[in-house]
Amino acid sequence: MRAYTKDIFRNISHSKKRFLAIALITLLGVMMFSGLQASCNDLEKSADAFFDAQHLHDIQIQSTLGLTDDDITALLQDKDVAAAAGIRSVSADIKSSDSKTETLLSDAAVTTLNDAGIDAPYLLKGSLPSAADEALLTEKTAKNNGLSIGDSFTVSATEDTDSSSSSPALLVTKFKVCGIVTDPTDVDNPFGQVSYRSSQSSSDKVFVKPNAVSGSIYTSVVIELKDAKSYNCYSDDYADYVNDVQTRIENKIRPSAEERRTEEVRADAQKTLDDEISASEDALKKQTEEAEKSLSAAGSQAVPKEQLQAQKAQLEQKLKAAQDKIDEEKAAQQKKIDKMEGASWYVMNRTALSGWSNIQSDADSIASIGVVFPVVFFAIAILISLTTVARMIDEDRGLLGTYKSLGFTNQEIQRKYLLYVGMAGLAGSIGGTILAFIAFPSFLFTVFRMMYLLPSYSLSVMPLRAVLGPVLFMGGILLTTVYSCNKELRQSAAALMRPKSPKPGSHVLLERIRPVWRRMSFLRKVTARNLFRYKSRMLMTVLGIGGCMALLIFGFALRDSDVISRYTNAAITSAKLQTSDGEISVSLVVFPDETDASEYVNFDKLEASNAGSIVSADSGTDSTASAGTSISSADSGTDSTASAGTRADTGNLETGDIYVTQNAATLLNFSAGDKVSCRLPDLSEADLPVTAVVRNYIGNYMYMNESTYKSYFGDPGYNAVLASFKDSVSTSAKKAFGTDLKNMSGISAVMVTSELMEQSADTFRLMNVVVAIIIVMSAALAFVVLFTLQTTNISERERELATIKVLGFYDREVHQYINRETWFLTILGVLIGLPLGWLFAQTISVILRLPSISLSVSIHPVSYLYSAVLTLLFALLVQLITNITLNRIDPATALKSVE
Amino acid sequence: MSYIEFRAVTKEYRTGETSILALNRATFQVEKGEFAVILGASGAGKTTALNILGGMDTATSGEVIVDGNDIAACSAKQLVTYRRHDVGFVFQFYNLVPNLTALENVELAVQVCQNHLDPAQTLEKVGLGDRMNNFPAQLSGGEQQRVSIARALAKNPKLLLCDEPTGALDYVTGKQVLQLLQDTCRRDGVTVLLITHNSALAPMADRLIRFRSGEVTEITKNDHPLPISEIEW
Ligand SMILES: Nc1ncnc2c1ncn2[C@@H]1O[C@H](COP(=O)(O)OP(=O)(O)O)[C@@H](O)[C@H]1O
Ligand SMILES: [Mg+2]
Repeated sequence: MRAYTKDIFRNISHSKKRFLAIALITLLGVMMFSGLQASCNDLEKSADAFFDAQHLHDIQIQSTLGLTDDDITALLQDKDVAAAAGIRSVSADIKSSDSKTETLLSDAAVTTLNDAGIDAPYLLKGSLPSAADEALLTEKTAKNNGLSIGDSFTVSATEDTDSSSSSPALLVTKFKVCGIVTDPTDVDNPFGQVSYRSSQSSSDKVFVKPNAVSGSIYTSVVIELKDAKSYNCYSDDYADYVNDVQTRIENKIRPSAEERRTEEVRADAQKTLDDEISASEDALKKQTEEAEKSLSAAGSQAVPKEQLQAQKAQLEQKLKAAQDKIDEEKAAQQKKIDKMEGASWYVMNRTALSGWSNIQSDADSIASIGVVFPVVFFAIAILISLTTVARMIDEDRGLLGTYKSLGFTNQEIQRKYLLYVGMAGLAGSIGGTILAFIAFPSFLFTVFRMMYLLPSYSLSVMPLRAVLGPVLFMGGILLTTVYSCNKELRQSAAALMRPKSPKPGSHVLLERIRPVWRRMSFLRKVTARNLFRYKSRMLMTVLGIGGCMALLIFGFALRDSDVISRYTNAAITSAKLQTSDGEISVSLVVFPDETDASEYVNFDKLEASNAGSIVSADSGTDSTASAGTSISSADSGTDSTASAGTRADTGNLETGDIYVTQNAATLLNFSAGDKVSCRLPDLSEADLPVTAVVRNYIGNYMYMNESTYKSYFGDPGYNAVLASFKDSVSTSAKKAFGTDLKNMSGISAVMVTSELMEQSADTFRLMNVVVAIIIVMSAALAFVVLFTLQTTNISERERELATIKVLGFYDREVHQYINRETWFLTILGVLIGLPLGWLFAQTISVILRLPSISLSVSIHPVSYLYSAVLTLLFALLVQLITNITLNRIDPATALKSVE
Repeated sequence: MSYIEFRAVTKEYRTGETSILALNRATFQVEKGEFAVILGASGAGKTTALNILGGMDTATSGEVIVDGNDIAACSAKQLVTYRRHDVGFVFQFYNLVPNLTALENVELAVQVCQNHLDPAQTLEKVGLGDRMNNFPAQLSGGEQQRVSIARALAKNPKLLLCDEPTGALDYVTGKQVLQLLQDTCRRDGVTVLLITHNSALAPMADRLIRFRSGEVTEITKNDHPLPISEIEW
């Protein structure tokens, strides 16, 4: 048996290419089987670990009338509630008190920490607050406001709450930054690429000790459940568990708590009213008594009776009126109290948290892409191993016969091939598993890091998947091997030892069509015959190439189905423009210098100034081109017209250009070339020379680039993203997208108030990476398929190729002889891949269940082209490699008698 | 100078440590239009010599002159051109392209050749006029070998090199094939070199070249070669 084992190992080293092909296809398959899933699993696990560590609330309750300690007590009664804490939150403006100029800064939520440690911010730098005047800031808040540890800032509540009320109010207004944190309730990375499915724009956040905020009621109550930590928070079990508790709270606790709170508030109001009324009545009584006293005093004096009567009547009338007024007031107030809306609870789980649910939907959609792939890879892996093993056994026919005649059983002979294939599969499986669980996730972590603020990502193995992938693939190829072996071993030893007669040729159908056949060149005829001679290989090549092509189209379609074509960072601030004619608000849009701003805004110039001279243009023009023309007709200076013309044509913002929209210019009565005074929210002011007035029908805008902005105001600080739709996006899709964006809280408000906009519309950064992965994998797959089939083809026809070499075919002609067939099959595969790819792409909308954006699958015609060109390129590359194999065929050796 | 000059040709095969001298300063000449038979035991270097002569292999040292050109000094590409236009090969195994009919196999050879003969006529000449549209699998061994001879002849080569063409054929068929080769030489004036280990064939040669372990041990000129039909073995 030892010699036999030796034979196996020698076999591997003698046919390395084949061994590698099987190993590689298994590696790719196993990697694709688990890679995406493992990455998503790691993302969810890392997130889960982080959320567990920070005690992210499982349930959060808000109420229209606020929540009280009684509510907390009631909630703690539930058997699954481990801890509940009240949170007070006040929205406030932050002002950095250290900076010299008084700058207006972003508004923020000042939120209290709690002793239960629920929703504990993750400390990045510094320390937790130890005094009421110390505060923690999220990284974004610190950056937005230019604050760092040790700096102080003041806060002022944006809504006035009188101190007597029970609502939360700030007790401290000047804080010192003691630490920078990540808020577990909001892990979307504001600096990186936020997933556009994010449904909440996060405002700045300040965390303070409970004693920095007063009030007897809480803004919200957060709850941690007893067994929640034992679940993966993205599992169905967790969802079920939380839902149970949520239902219980809704049904058992909520009604009585709502009633109690309603009564409480009503009683408070009633008491206040009663107090007020009785106070008024007391006052009235006092007044009456005094009046009566004075009346009776008057009565004791000799005052005419009529006069006294009249006075008395007057007084009574007055008192009655006052009493009526009080009664009226009382009735009105009472009505208000009676009609007062009762408390209404909102019981939310983690799905209400944008960061938390983004992680879930990202993970889900990537994971579901990972379902399509292994299927295709598996099918192709089976094809490849079928071809390879069949060829290997074919080549070994004589050897099989020898072993058989030496008395080896079929099982023993088979074992050699099973071992060979098994080792190749095992090598591939090990490699694939390592890649799937280590390399693949590590790569995706870099993308996740851009999207989420999770402090760390850790690798983990999914045991079932890690085993299932290799088992599936190795099972598949081993069964294929058994099948191929049995097919040969069924023959007798003698039959095996006789050389297998080459596959006989036969006439093809095409020959029946005489006119076509006659017109074909001789070598074409040969090609046609060969194509039909190796039908199974033809089928495999076509299917393999078609499959890869379809995967490529799938990948491109993922990208195409994204509606945004381009986007840029921008800074949008509100600014006040002022001339002697008045003052209006405009949105100041600042573009980065290198951006072609005209791609986002249509600068249809009405007036432009050049070299200080005011050039008036015909205001009736409505296209850029005609604006250019009319400027030239209005101005005699040729060089300035030229530049005006070109500027109007490109319409882009150069440094120094300041464009203002028409409406503002009309209202403030200025034109291009005039200076207007501009004031920013931070009260910095500058006189800006307007270089052009541009057409814009909605709203008032001022445009400039970053350099221009810097020269007047300093660093703009990008806070917005401007995006353009793709041309192919339908009007209804645009509308849907717009509505979806508006529905994300904060965005419409941003547009109305021109406050800082922070929703990033950079979509699908993650998808781009996934697309890249798909393309690389498809390329690798196409490569393995083509390479295997081509080398098998060559080895099978070595004698034939040697013969034509003997006949004096040049290398190039020999290449053509083989490659003509491959090209034909590749092109056929590409043609089949086109509809197949379309079909694959249709699954995208099903696969990607996006919560807020409805994706309509669109594939650009050019994507088909890309896919086809890529596939043909792979084919070419493979041919360049196999051409070397062809050149190496030595006719003298190959044609030596068949021993 | 003779039409073919093999001058002190040495061929050394090196496999790792060991080296085998397949040809050891082998020297012989063949005149134009001659029927030369190369005799020798298995492993004597006959195939090696023929391959070098046919431009399929290169000599380690020595000169190989064919029609005044030293093919030992040719580049690989030039050797292909030489094979393309000047050499016809016939092997023990017929090496027909299984997917092409008899006629197409001949056409395949003339595809790349300029002064070729008409494929159909050549097939008729070898006696296969009625089997032209058969695939190799439909032909007997002798018939296949005749197709392969037709394929070599259709190129109208200067040399026809035959490496044990009857090795896989039975006596009668073998004889027919040899007859065809001899006739071709006599009728068309093609120079034929034929390898065999069957010394009974020696009388049919115009010139007999004997090989033993890489060396030419004997060159005999035979002014009265026997027709193959008169030779029995
Ligand atoms: N490619 C090769 N590598 C190593 N040795 C070879 C090779 N081809 C032939 N030989 C050796 O050269 C010698 C001559 O071979 P060959 O010319 O084929 O003999 P024959 O006279 O039987 O045709 C033999 O000993 C053979 O083993
Ligand atoms: Mg030989």
